Amino acid sequence: MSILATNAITDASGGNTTTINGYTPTVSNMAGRNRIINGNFEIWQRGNTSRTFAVSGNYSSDRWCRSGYQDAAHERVAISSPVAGMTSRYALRSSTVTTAEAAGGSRMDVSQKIESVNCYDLAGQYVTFSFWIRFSSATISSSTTAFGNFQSRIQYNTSTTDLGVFGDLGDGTICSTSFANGSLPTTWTKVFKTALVPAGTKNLSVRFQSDNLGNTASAGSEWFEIAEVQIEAGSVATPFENVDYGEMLRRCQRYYYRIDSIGGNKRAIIGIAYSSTELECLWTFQQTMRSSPTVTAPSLGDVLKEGVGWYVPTSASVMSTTPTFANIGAILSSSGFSQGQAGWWGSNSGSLTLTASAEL
Amino acid sequence: MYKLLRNDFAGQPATIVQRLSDNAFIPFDPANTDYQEYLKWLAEGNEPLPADE
Repeated sequence: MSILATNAITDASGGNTTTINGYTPTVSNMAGRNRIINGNFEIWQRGNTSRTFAVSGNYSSDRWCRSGYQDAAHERVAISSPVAGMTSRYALRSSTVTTAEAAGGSRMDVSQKIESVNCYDLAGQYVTFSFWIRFSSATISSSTTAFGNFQSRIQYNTSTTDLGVFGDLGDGTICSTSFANGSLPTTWTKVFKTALVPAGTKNLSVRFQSDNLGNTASAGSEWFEIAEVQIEAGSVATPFENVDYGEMLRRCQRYYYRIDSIGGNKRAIIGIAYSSTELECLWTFQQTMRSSPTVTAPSLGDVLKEGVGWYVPTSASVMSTTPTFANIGAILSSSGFSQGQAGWWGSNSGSLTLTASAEL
Repeated sequence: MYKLLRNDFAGQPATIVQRLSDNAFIPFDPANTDYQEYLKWLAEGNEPLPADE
């Protein structure tokens, strides 16, 4: 039998750390350091191919969105030509588009707002912001107007809590990093900066964007890529914290959740007929969401009455949503249902997609 | 533009509003940012379409 006396273990220099079964806990490998969710762009529930956003408020990679109101495109790309110190496999690329929307141009822009419960404790403390970045060329050119320089920054809110990122871009900026157009790095470059979070801060957000608006003759001809984005307490930029995929997906589903039923004879959610023209279903979420979510049904799928057949819904309707479930109805033009009979909503000839969003 | 949804409980006010641009169903939850946008839209003097009878 072994006995471990109190304070009997010290490291080689007499400090307080030690190796336990071959593992040495250090500031660089402690879990839970990164306040950014999905900072390595592994999770893309909405799809990872290039999408052009025509309005503000669109999310691309989970928890990552546009905070400006102009057009832009986001997509997932595999990290090519990684340099020493990079451990992730994906980056988010924000690229130019050809269209000009509000204010006469598009803006390359990526941001994430951190929910108050996940960052309020940083108020009054130093935090360190770190990420990798590279650009398509040293000079980002445009066919109309000029994109100008590039900047990244942390913004904070003290006057509001968890308001939408688009109407609430921050009460102030606590740190920023700029690259001059003409000297943009085309190889992966690590950026890190330490800043003091003001007392009373409720939310933090990070933004990456070009200073001005522009357009390019070809969509996607100019871009920037970011990877391994991290905000952590303290004044040291530690290596990027890699989180278990399932755990990161769980964190993302607090803000966005979807089901996709694709293929024949799939029963996704169960319901009770309210009438011959409406099957009211219970959709439970994998994760308690941040708020009662906004629900959409972009693809309506099929409704099944067992032993009778499949019916094609004409629309959907939502009776209620809570952070843990939604009551959603499949509206039918006709069916063999009578009130109180059970049925399924899923896919047979069509596909069913339901989304729930409780994003900031 | 928005449209109020009928409450299945007769006589009770609507608790969901539908955003017609993308057919999104928005709950009356102050923490929901789409609802915050709806409130801002109302404050600008706009009115939603009434619920179906």
